[in-house]
Order: sequence, then C-alpha cells, then structure tokens
Amino acid sequence: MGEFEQLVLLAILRLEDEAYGMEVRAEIEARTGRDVSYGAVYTTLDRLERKGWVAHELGAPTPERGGRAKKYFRVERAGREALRDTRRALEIMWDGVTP
Amino acid sequence: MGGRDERGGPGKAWVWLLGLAVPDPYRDAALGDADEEFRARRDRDGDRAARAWYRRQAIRSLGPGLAHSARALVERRRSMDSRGEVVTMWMQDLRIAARTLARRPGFTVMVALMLGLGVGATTALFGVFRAVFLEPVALPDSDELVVVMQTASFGCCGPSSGPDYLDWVERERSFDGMAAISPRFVNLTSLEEPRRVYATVVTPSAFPMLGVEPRMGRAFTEEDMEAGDVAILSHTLWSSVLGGDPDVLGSTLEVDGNALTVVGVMPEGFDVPSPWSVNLRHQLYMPFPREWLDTNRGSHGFPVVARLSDESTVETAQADMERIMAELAVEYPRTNADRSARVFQVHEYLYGDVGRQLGLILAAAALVLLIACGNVAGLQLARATARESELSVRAALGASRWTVGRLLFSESALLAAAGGVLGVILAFLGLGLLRSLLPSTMPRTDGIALDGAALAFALGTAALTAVVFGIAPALLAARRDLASGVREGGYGTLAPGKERLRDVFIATQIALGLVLANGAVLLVRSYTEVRGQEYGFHTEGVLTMAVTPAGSRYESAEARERYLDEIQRRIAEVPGVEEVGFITRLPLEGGSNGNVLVEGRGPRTSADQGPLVEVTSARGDYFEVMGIPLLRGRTLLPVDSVADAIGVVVNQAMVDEVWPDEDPIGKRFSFSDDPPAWLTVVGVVGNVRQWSPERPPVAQLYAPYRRGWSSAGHVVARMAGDPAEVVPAVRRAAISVDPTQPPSDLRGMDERLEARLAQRRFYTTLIGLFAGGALLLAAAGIYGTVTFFVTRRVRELGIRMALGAGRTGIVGLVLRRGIRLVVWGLILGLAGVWASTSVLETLVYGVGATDPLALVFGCLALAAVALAASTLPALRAVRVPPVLALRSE
Repeated sequence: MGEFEQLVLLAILRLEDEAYGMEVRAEIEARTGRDVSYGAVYTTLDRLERKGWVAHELGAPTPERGGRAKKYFRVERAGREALRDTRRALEIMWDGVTP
Repeated sequence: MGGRDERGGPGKAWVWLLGLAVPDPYRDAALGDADEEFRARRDRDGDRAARAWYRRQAIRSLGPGLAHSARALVERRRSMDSRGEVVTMWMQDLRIAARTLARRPGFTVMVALMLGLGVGATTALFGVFRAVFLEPVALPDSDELVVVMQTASFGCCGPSSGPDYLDWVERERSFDGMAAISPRFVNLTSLEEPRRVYATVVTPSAFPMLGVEPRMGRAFTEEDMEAGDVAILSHTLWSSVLGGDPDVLGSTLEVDGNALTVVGVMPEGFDVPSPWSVNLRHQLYMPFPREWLDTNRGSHGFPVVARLSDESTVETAQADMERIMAELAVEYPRTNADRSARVFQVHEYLYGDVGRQLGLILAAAALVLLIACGNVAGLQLARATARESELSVRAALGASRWTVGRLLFSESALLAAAGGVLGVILAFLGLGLLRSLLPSTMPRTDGIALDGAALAFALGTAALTAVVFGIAPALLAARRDLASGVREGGYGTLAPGKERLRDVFIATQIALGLVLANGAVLLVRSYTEVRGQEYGFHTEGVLTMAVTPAGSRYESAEARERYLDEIQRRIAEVPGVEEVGFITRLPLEGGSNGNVLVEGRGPRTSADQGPLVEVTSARGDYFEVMGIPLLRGRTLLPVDSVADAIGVVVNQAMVDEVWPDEDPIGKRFSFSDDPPAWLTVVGVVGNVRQWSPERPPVAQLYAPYRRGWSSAGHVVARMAGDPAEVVPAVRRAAISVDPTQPPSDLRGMDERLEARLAQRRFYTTLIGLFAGGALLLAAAGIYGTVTFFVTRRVRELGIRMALGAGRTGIVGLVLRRGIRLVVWGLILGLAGVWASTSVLETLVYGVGATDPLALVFGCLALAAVALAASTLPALRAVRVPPVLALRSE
C-alpha cells in the first residue's frame, strides 16, 4: 500500500461520518502540513475504491457547492485489514532501526 | 458553471482543467468540494488569494490526473474493452497510413519538404521575433517602465532639459520614481590598452526606480552628484575587461582623464534602458552632475525613464505630463512655448518599430506556410479522388465514412509530423543563415535561439497544418457517397463540392502569392530607390575614425585643436593618404540642431522660432575628403574662429530655405537673441543626408571647431587605395599623438553606408526569398491541379478528339481551366494587396504602398507562372492518342 493511500484511508477513518473529499484533503493538509491537490486525493480514492477498500454514498446537493452532491467515503473491512497489515509490517521492519 | 456568483468564481478554464484531472465518476463531487472550499477561502482570504489557490489546485492536480489516466489506459488496453479498441484502431490507421505513404515516396518527400520549408522558415523567424521583440525588457516589472520624451515644433521625440526634468519630478502625480540619463562614449584611459566604451550618467534615483541593486558595493547618492568622482561598473566591464577582480571596490578608474573611484558593480544582464541606442549596452555608470540639472532650460540632452505608480497607466501619465508641460509653457514661454511631452512604454519605445517590421516578415513566412498547406491539401484531395475506388472498396467491405475520413486524417497527421521534424531541422539551419544576414543595428540578437518556445511554436505550427490541410479532405471524403465510386469504376466526375474546394485552394494560393510578390517588388524598388539616392558625399576610399579628446588635458579648446591638428598631420603622413579632415557628426549619423534668428527678420516669437538648423563643426579638408562641392564663397579659415566675427559655411538647403533669392555670402544669423551672437556665412556647400539614407537633406551649418558645440567627432581621410589597408597605420598614428586617447570605430565610409542600409536589405532579402518561394509553390499548385484535371478527363478529351476536336481546342479547354483559376486568384489577391498596404507603408520608400508597377509586375509574374504550369499538362493532353484515352477505363 502506498504512503498516500494510507494517508487517505486514515483521514477517512478519523473523519468518521464527515469524510467527503474536501474534508479528506483538509485533514491530510492540516495534520501533515503538505499541500495536497484534489487530483491526488480523487485519483487515490478511485484506486482504493477499485480495490474494494473504500466505498461511498451520495449526499444531498447544496447550493454552496454549485448544486453538486457530496460523496461520503467509508473504509470497508478489506481496507481496514490492509491498513492493519501495512502497519504491522512497518512496525516489524522498523524494530531496532534508527535511520 | 457553479463557481460563479456576483463576486466572481475561480474562472471557467480552471474549473475545466481541475475537472480534467479527476477521474470521471468523481468529477462532480470533486468540483463541488473545490467550489465549497473556494468560497470558504474567498470569505476568509479574499478574492485574489482564493483564485490563486484554485489555480494552484488545478495545475497541481494535473500530474496525478495524467498519471492516473495513463495507468487506466494501459489497464483498459490489456482488457481490450471498447476504449482500447479505439486506440488500437488509431494505431492501425497510422500503420496503414505509414504504409500507404511509404509506397509513394515521391509524393511523401515532396509534401514533407513543402511543409518543412514552411514550418522551418516560420520557426526560424519566430526565434528572431521572440528574442528581439517578444522578450520583455530585462528589469523587474518592466511593463511599468516608461520613457518620457519631449515634443516640439520638430515633432516627436527629443530629450528633456535639466530644469524641465527637475520640475517634472516635483510636479508629477503618476510615477514611482523618475530618472534622467545621458548616454555617451567615454575613454577608459588608465587601462593598459585604453578603450572607448559606451557609458551613461544617471541620477541617483535611477537604480532604485528600476528596482535593481548593485551586485557589489553601493548605488549613487545625492552627494555623488556634487563630487562626481565615483563610478559603477556594468557586470560585463567588471568581469571581462577588469578580469572580475573581487577587490575592485575602492579602486580607481580613469575615465576621460578623470580619476573615479569604483563604488559598485551592477548584476549580470542589467542595463539602464537607453532610448538612443537600442543595440548598445552601457558599460559604465557615472553620477549625473548636479550643474547639468540647473543649466539652461533651452538645452535639451537628457532622456527620462520613469516607473508608473500602481494607480496610473500610460494614458493617465500622458495626461499628467501634458498638464505639467502646459504649466511650464506658461511659466517659461521663451523656452517651453511649443513643448509638450510623450510617455511611451519602454518596450514599445525601444523595440516597437523593429518588432512591427519583423512581425511583417514573420507574417510573410506564415503566408508561405499557408500556401504550402494549400498545396498539400490540394494534393491530398486529388489523391483522395484518385483513390476513390480503393476507398469505395473499403466502404463496401464495411468501413464507415468516419473510418475512411480517419484514414485520410492519419496520413495528414503523419505528413505533418514529418514536416514538423524537417521544419525543426531546417529552422536550425535557417537560423544560422539568418544570423549572418542580421543587420548590426538589430537589438537583442544575442538572445536568438531555438529554445523550448520556438520548438513549441514549430510543433504547434505543424499540428495546425495537419488540421488545416488534413481535415478538409477527410471531411469531404467522409461526406461523399462512397458506394458510387465502385459503380463508376473510379473515374467518375468529381463531386462538385470537392472540385470547388480545390479551386478555392489554388485561387487562395495565387492571391497570397500576389500579396507577397507585390510586397517583394515594393521592397526591392524601395531598396534600389534608397541606394540610388544622391547622398551628397563620396563613400569610396574614405576612412573614418572616432576620436574623443576628453579629460583634464583637453579642457581648453586650444588643447583640443592642437591634438586634432597633430592627429590630422600624422595621418596625412601615412602612405596612401591624400587628404585629411575632421567633422563632429558624420553624414547619416544624425545630429543636433537649434532654431536661429536671422538678421533683419524681426524678433522670434513663440509661434515662429526661426529656421531649424543642424549644427556641425568641420576642420581641415573635410569637404574635399567627402567630395562635398563648394558652391559659393570659400571654406573655413582660421580667421573664422575669431570671437566677434565667426564665419560659417552653410549648405544649399539652408540657402534655399532662408535666403532663396539673395546672395547668402555675408548674411548673419544667431542661435541666441539676447544679445545675438552673430555667425556670418562665408561659403555655401552641397547638401548631404545628415540623418539617414531615407531622410532628405535639411538646413545645416559647419562652424569652426573652436566655436563648435561638441569636442568629439570623426577624423576622415581620403586615399587612393582600399581604406582597410591603412587602418593599422592610421590607428598607430593616432595613438602616437596621445596613447590615452584610444581611437575607435575605424571604418570605411562605404561600410557605414552599408550598415545604415543593412536593416532594409535584410527585410528585402527575406521578403524576396519568401515571394520566390510563394511563386514556386503556387506554380506547383496550379500544375498539380491542371494535371489532375487532365488525368481525370483523359477519356472525355479522347472522345472529343475522336469526334474531331482540334488540338488547339483541347489545349484551349485545358488552359481555360488554369486561366480561370488565375483570374479568380488575382482578383482575390488584389483585395489582399489593398488590405496589406497599411502595414507595408512603414517599410517602403520612394514608392507608394500601392505601386501600380509592382502590381502589374506581380500579376504578370503570377499569370506567366500559372500559364507555364498549365501549358505542360495541356500539351500532354493532346499528345494522348484517342484510342488509348478511350481504353483508359
């Protein structure tokens, strides 16, 4: 799993019910201090969804979004497992290493 | 578009771009997110910041978006879903197209060559155009920089006077800083080998106003204007002449014999814009002497550069300057009555004219490219027709019109690509050729290169040609009822639409050819006209050399005279030299002038300031060397320098203007009127062109050097042989008089004249080349069309002949076709010529922009070319035996 994929998955988990694109982008930006583009966020979400790690449902369109509906994302079971596996693998590899 | 409300959104283009970067299923949601965040940011940070954020988002999203699409494409190709098929289909088309083109190498090479020449010429010229004109002035926020010049009865534009400049600075409301400059050549006399460099004095406001700080040391201060004993070096002077000495600050540099302390070095690439010499760069900066600002208001010598404030534009600054000049005209009517000011953007003032001229040449190159495109389109169309049976078979086997159109377009795309690659190669070669043709007066030529922008231009042009000549035939082929092709056995008559389109192509080519031919004839005639001018002086066997007696040793007029006397004497001793003289301003090099009061003509008024006269000072055998004839009286003698009876020689133009019906000898006039300092006419000489080869002679006087207004000038020497052979000896002779006064600019007078004509020659050569190319291409186009017409009608012509039509009848039939095209083309072309006159006016000389002779020549040339191109196929048509023609099915 790529680093940015992890960041997106973790952001969705943190945001719980509020996990739509803008918040995901803002969460990553606020916590990591990285300038993140929508292009990067959505292409990653597309990839994650294809792998079956996340799913989305449509919110109601609102005028302050130019009448466009939000897509709320949630992490699926497979996604959570993949995230846990990655973390475990990383922890094992990191053990005793000081770069 | 959702992002817009009364306060303005992020901009449609950016929304579209962002949408492009997000995968399809999420586009709507992503744009909604971005819109929501944009609004929040706009409320928090303001409009500008929010828009900037959005732009950044859109641009930065492109990378991930593109990578994602590429990955998706590869995946889809693997799984061969419908989109993959489209890509495969295009690849297949390209393969078929490549095979088809490879089977007809003659056609392919010819088309690639035509396009390559067009693209190459256009790209090479674009490289020149970009470096010379499109590049901004290399200073921070250079679009805010302006040149402020004065206008007067002589028109535009002259420099300001010191007191006027001070009043401008005090009263203006439009600028963030103004600076006066005064460029000049100076001698660096302390160097091992003294040299003459271009320098300028600047007011201390100059560097801060331009927004550039010295790379080392400090800028000028107000105190420097009083003492005047410091200098700042250009990066070039510091790095090349002074070897980049890191301890240069505080060292002493002798400039015209005065010791100046180096206090700064400017950064690389920096220069103060100088309105007078766009192709020279200042090597040295010195503080503007305070007393120059306080000298008389009637003496104008200082161009002014300024920076527009945030609130002002060129127009508001213009109004502001007019207001100030109107005030000054009331306060100082004697000096300022007829004066006003003009504000120019620096870039426009420096490069506007040359840019427009180059733009015209670039347009000519583009016309040639367009003609080439027309030819290729015609060829493609002809091929599409000839291949009708092939295409019909494809259609019968199930190819849709779209498929056939795509196939033709693929061929065009491949041809355009080949043309583009060839064009880039030719542009590289062409740029070398252009560099050797470029006149030395052209500014910023060192920046000319085929870089990314030029290559992008070439590829863009090639892509455009693919569209221009590829789409039309493809569309027509797609529209045609292909099944009929099979029934007709491939020799049916051409659909009327297609035939008309070919005709339009050819007629347009002829029209464009006429526009170019007309332009070329006009320019060539202008050039010969300028060359054939009576300049009023000899150029053969005349050597010129610049001398600038300056510095503490030459403060007195006597010392300067002694110096020049000695130089003239020693040069006269050089073997081969016959006569030697001196002039403060050579012909063709411009000058300085003033209005004069003529004795016995009543006082000057603000409406009538008296005749405007060019002022020069001559010494020795100047008139003899230059072959300027003495028409009346005598030339200057030492006695003419005596203070209360200064004698001057005037030219015939001044006599014609001031004393048309009187004997001018003994007449007196004066530049000042209170009290007048009379100058007495002792002789009259022939006119010379003082300002340029194009500008007719104006009233001019030659004063004794000691009474002259300038100390620098050119020594002129006449010799029997080639001036180039004595250059070293003449240089040695000059240095032997005073090694601290480096002579420079040793050139034959004929070389100077050539340099003045170089720009015109450059434009004329290029337009001539393009017009020649256009004629060739147009001929090829007509030939192709008529040949095609004959080939397709072989059967019809055979029947006609079998039924007894005479050879002349057949030839006439074929020729009529060519002639009709020519007539239509010429009519269209005349309209084009008419439209092009206003742009040509800036380049022509001595002939009108619509010169009947040029037009007649252009028309005849094209008609002849067209006739020749149609005759060949016509003759071939009658040589076909009727039986063969009938059997041709």
